[in-house]
Amino acid sequence: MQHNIEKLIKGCLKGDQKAQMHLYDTYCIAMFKIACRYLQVEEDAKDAMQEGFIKAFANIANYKNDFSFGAWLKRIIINQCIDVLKKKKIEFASIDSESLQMIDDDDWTVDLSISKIQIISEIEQLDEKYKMVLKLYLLEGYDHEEISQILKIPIKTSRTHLRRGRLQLKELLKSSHYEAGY
Amino acid sequence: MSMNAQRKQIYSKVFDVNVQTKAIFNLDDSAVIIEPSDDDKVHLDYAIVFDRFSMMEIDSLISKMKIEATLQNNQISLKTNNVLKSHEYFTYNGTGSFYVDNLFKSKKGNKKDSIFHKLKDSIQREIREKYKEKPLDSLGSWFKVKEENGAIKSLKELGGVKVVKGQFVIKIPSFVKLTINAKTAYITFAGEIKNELSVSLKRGKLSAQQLINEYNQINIDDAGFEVEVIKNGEYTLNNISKGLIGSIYNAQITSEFSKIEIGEIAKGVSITDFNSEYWFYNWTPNFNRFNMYSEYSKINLFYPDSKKYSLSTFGFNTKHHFKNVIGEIGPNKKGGKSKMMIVGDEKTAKNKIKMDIIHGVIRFGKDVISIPRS
Amino acid sequence: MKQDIKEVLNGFEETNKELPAAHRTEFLEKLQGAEKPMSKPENFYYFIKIAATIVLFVSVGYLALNSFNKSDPIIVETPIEKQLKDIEMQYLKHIDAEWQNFVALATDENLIKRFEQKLNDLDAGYQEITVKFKQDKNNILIIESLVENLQTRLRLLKDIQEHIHLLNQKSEQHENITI
Repeated sequence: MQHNIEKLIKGCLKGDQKAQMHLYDTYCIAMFKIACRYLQVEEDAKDAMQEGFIKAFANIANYKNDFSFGAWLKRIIINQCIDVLKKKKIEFASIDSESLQMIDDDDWTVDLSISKIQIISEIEQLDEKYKMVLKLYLLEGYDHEEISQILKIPIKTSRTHLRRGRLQLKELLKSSHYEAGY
Repeated sequence: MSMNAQRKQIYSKVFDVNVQTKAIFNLDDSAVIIEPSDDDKVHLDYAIVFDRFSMMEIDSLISKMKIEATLQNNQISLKTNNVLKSHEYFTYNGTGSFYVDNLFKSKKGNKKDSIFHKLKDSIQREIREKYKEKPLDSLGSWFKVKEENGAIKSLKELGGVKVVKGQFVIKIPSFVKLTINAKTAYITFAGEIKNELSVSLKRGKLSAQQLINEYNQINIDDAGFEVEVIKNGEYTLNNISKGLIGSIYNAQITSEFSKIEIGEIAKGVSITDFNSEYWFYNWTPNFNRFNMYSEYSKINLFYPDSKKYSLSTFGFNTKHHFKNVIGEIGPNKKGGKSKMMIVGDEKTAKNKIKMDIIHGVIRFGKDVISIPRS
Repeated sequence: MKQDIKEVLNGFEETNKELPAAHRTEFLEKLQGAEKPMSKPENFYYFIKIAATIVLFVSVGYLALNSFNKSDPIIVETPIEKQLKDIEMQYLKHIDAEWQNFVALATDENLIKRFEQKLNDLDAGYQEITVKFKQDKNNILIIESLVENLQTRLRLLKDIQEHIHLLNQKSEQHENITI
């Protein structure tokens, strides 16, 4: 598969439409699912995904082999989704960087009785600012440096949003009676 | 606080300093405790204890606080914002309305008709008691909720008040010159503070055990002021609603619109005042000289114990109350000041009290000062 | 018993997302549209279109930034605020009344001036505290300072009038008093 992808990329560099469509076919569903994580309306997600591909092909010369094509493509598509969100006035506003923080707990544990579906649905209920960081961290596996680049926020803000999102998520899970006791 | 109260360390920093080091603290809406350091370092530590707050709320609260401390060019700069000693958050979701009690009730019933003598120690104890005040205790008793059925409940009874307590302790070596600019700040100096202080405080409170340095410049405006021992320095006290000084030695006070009780006056004290009320309870055996210059002031003066003193007042249009006698001296022929009252022999007395008072009221007594009902 | 959210979500994939049937054709069209070599007039229009989008985006972004900088785009008065406004009004009424009484009673110009200065200072302080209150409406300490400020002003005016009354009381006039 890898060899194939390399061939296809070479084809894209030459502007070969067939190669481009092949790449699209390979990755479109996965990328669509990723876009759906950030854009609720499937139509928007589809458009963002497709725009992302167009941009990727236009910039294919910049693709370097240091990470997988899929990861590179994913990044472009997520950026596209963020642009859409920004147009919808979703602010990833930064926090005053001088503010204090409690010594970090980094506790992601919740009761076993909570299902995956419940976690996913409660994530959707989080504040926009936290939701974004949480998803990038939990679902895409980005670290704070990457998140700060994607959202164009300071790393400290990314950490704070993640922590707050984590705390809010835990509270939402608790209060929806899925967890027994305090 | 319940058993579920949690404690979190928020901030901790240490600075190495030397005899040339200066410190400037800018404190806004903050409470700090400043005490002498055991080593030659400045320690800054802030921890909070909270109950019935969720982590989210604490986090949100902490995000509003600022603590910045740096050491540059041998100067420590500390800036704090919203670092309160206690935070009381009130959420009320009922249908009652807020009710402010006793707002304009005249307090005629409470009017004192005697002022009792106090010992220096009791004033100092009073000051110490107030360090320990719990947040809810000092809540204005006027702040209540009137529920729909007409019942009036205090905030404590409603139970909708959550408390977060914090303590920001600063340990500082005594050779560091300290400047404090503070607004709505609660500053407590614990222990014997020998540092050279330059303090400017507006709103809040200054509490201290001992302030000693001869170069101290302390300016307090519209804030509480309670110090067990003042030695040396210059103090400007404006609009202090209940000032307490345990004992004072070799210091100058310039004041206005304040009410200040002084447990003991020692050598070298002078006061310049406008429209304040003072209580002078005790005098040291060798206080030597006490000078006061005032306008529109009320002075409650308990006679010194020793016989070797003289007391003279100079001015005009001042009521003198002693026992049941009220005497008054009008302006002299030129409309100016003249000698009003003399107790003892000025020429031979070892200790002299000299008061320059115009438009004032001065009351004297031994163990009790009685205030004639108007 | 506990589980770690990170592990739960590791490798998570949405299962029920499907692209519409015509998506491929649609994409092909977009692809072809994007790659068509532009003749000059088309280039020009394309540039205008892009510029328009950028301007729109920038102004939209700017608006968004502005509204999020304000803490409360919609001002809703809380019950506490209403009550405090009421209290403030009552106090200010009383303070004004006492001020009038004081000015009428006092004969010393200097005294009046000093009081005026003092009350202005306290008023300035009150405004400062009000700003803090707007940022933190549930903070009891701030509410207390507001009311204390008003009480102080009233008390000062009442006290000085009482003082003047005391001074005006008839009593024994002396040349001097010796004890």
